This record gives sequence, C-alpha cells and structure tokens, in this order.
Amino acid sequence: MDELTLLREIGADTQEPDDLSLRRHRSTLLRQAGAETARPRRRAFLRVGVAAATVALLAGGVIVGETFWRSGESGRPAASANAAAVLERATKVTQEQADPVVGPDQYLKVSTKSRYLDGGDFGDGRSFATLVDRTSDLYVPGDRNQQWVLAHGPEVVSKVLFGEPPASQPLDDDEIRRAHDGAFYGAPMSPTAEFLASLPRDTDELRARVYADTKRQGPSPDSAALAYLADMLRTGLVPADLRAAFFEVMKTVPGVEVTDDTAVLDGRRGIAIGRAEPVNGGRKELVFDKATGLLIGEREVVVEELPDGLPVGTVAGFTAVTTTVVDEAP
Amino acid sequence: MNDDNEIVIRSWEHPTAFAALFDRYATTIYRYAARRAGTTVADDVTAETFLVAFERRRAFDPEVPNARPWLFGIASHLLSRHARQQARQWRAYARAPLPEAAGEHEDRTVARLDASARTAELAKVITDLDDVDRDVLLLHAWGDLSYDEIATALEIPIGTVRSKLHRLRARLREQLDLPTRELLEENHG
Repeated sequence: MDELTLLREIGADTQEPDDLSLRRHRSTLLRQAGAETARPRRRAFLRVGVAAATVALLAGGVIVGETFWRSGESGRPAASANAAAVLERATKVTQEQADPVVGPDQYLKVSTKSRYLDGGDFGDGRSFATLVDRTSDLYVPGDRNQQWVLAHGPEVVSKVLFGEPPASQPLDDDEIRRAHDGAFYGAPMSPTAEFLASLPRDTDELRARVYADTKRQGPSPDSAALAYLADMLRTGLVPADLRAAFFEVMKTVPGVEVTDDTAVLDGRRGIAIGRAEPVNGGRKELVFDKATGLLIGEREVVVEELPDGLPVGTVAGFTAVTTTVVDEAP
Repeated sequence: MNDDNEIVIRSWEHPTAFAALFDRYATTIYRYAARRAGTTVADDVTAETFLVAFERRRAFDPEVPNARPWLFGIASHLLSRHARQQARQWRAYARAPLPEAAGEHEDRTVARLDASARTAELAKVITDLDDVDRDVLLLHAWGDLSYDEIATALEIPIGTVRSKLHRLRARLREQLDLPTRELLEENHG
C-alpha cells in the first residue's frame, strides 16, 4: 500500500460536470470564436453566381460606393511611388509623437468598429449575403490599480444584400467585462506595460525578437511576425517610440507592401501596410494615421479567387479603430 | 480521428473549429479542477481554460499532437488563484470518510479504509507545499499526466519533474510513517 495509491483514493468519486453547464460553456466559447473581428466569414460554398451578384450590387453603389469597397482590378492596391516616402515621414513623426496623456481618473478608450461580408447558400439554389457590424470598446484606466472594461456590442446584420439569411444566425448579446490588467479571459491582456518596455527599439534586435517569439506559429513565419505586431498595435497601447520601431520592422518583412492613401471603414484615410498570405488567398492590411502613426483600421481583401469564392478585389473584412481619452467607462 | 494539433491549426483560420478541443477535454479538465478545489471553482476554471486556450491558440506548437498538457497547464495556472478553495477542499477530504463503492472488492475496501485514516495527514503535507510541487504531485496522481506531459504543462524541465516527484513521495511516506522499503520494492516490481 503506497502513498500514491492512498492519494489516488482521495476525491476519486468526484462527479462528472452536468450537461447543462458544459453546453453553456461551449456556447460561450463558440460565441467568442464566431465573433473574431476583422476575419472574413465567407463560407466555402458561396457560389460564383452569388459572388457576381454581390459585386454587381457593390459596384452599383448599394453600400458606400465602388471606390470604397473595391481595391483595384487585380486586388492589389496601386502602389504609389510616394508610399515609401510617406511611411518614412510618418515614422519620423511617430517617433516624435507625444502619446495622449491619460489622467488617473480617466481612461484610454480604444474603440473598434468592424464590418464584414457574410454569406452562403442553402444548397437548393437559394443563397444570401449580408454585412455584419460589431463595435467593441476597450477602456484602459489611467490608474493601473483600477479595472479595465471591455464592452462588446451585439453583432448586427447591418444590411441584407440579397436573399434571406437563416434565422438561426448566432448573434451576440451585449456584454461588459471588467478585470484588472485586462485579464478578461483569465490572463492579463498582452501586451503589458512591462512587456512593451522590455522590447528592443533597435530595428535589427526587434526583428530578431519578433521572429523568435513567433517561431512555429501561424501559416508562415512572415505572416506570424506581422500578426504578432498587429495584435499589439490593435490594442492601442503601444507607445509612440515602439510604434515607430514596429514600422521599421514591418517594412522588412518579405511580401509587405506599403500603400499611400487607403480608406478604413469610417472613411478616414491612412497609409496601409499589407501582405498577401498565399494560404488563404487574402491580403491583410493595417492602416495607420499619417500624422500620429496610430492604427486606424484594418482590411482583408481577396487577392486570389478561390473556386466558389468571392471575386478578386472584394473587401471581405473591415475595421475602424479610434483611440481617445475619456473621463468615464461603463 | 484528428490529432489535437490538427484541430488547433484548423482553428487559426476557422475559429469555431476550436470547439472540437472543448468536446475532447472539457470533462477531464472539470473533474481535475473539481477534485482540487470543488465544483464551483471547477465550473469557472473549465470555462476560462478554454477561453484562454482559444485566445492563445496561435502560440500552440503545431508539431505537438497532444494538447492535453497545454490545457492542464492553463488550468493549473487558473487554479493557483483559488488557494483558499483548494485548502477548503482538503479540509473536507480530511473530515469526511471516503465513500464505499457499490460492489466494492475487498482490496479496494482495504485501500479506502487506510486512506480515510491517513487523509488528514496527507492533507497537512499537501496544503503546505508550494504551488509547483503541488501541481507536479497532483497532475501525476490525479491528472494521470506522464512526466513529459507534466514538464510541458508546467514549463519546467523533465529532470525537475522526476526529482520533485521522488522527493515529494519520500516526504509523504515519511509523514504517513510508511516503510521506505516498500518504495524500493515498488520501483523494482
């Protein structure tokens, strides 16, 4: 009779979880998964006919107008000769940028509005296409001992382009989460202030660090490196000097293209840093304000027409990010 | 049947595919968490483990076919915040006699009665351990993780897992007044 056997007797009759709780947790997980922003939700079976009709509607200006939604015949934005120079200037400006001052009773509000194209068919000839919108607001307290607040708005079908979307579309409820250090899902929101302070500002060192940190992640090392930087920039918490260093690194990632004058969801325009990922036929773009270097939005553009997919040039995902200092959080 | 890493990789581009990992491991994580800190904590920890795992899914090494250590690692970290409930659970174990199972065989009865008498002593040692030691011991005894899996879960070297387990078992034996000879017999048997 040994000590392990005795230990294994203890709590050996622990009960199974009840079905209802498990189902509830599973639903919460699926809502989180389904609500990822800036991800195209095109269904694999979106037929060419549907896609063509969608484009016709888009071209007809049903939404906001062709130039807003289409990004060129080949899906590749017209690379402007100025683009690199504009980014240089923006980088310099960013380095000198003073970040907004957030008082101890105030919050940095990072508001992300996203819109993406959704659609599918029912296999019997009927199909549908919709635009789905969502807004999420993150409030970061000036006083680090206070709680952060994350307010997710509901997912709303903002426009039915055609057809009848199925009634069982899972739409999120409004939700407000509060946590210290942004630990809304159990772990402190990365990046923490300490982590950001620890990153090298030198381009070569930072680049090496980014690739080391993202080793073996994502569909490709370059895609993973860019996603790593984008994830941090998306939070609005990266200080100006580090933002400038991020730009320098991003310019060196193979496949990255810089475009001047790209529009984001709410019509603001900025410099786009984009990269096509061969694995999913899409081009991911991060758009930055020329004056401050802050991320103002993202786009996901179709660059390779997959069979039964959306036509090249379609913008399948769109966000606009606004960062302000506010006095109150919900 | 897909390996776990195939599910995680798929979820990189198709987030809802991650639910398949939940289907595989939610019950296992729940039972372990409940055994350590009670059903209320287990409910929270189970939900949070998968939400955190989902958030971190891109950091999962795509070469590793088994996600169990990764999930147990997250759960262990979450459990460490519930020190009071863990202690309360141990007090409950120390007080209550272990239940008899229906159709219990004689050697299981012997084991059960023995354990009842000594649970309080085990509780004393285990609640005094630091978090890592306790995790190593219980991931082994209750989680049925291999040394390698424990090393991955807790992000410590496998040699450390081995030496900790050796030391902890010796300490338990000392507390329980068990002869050390049995340990040798067991290792050679």
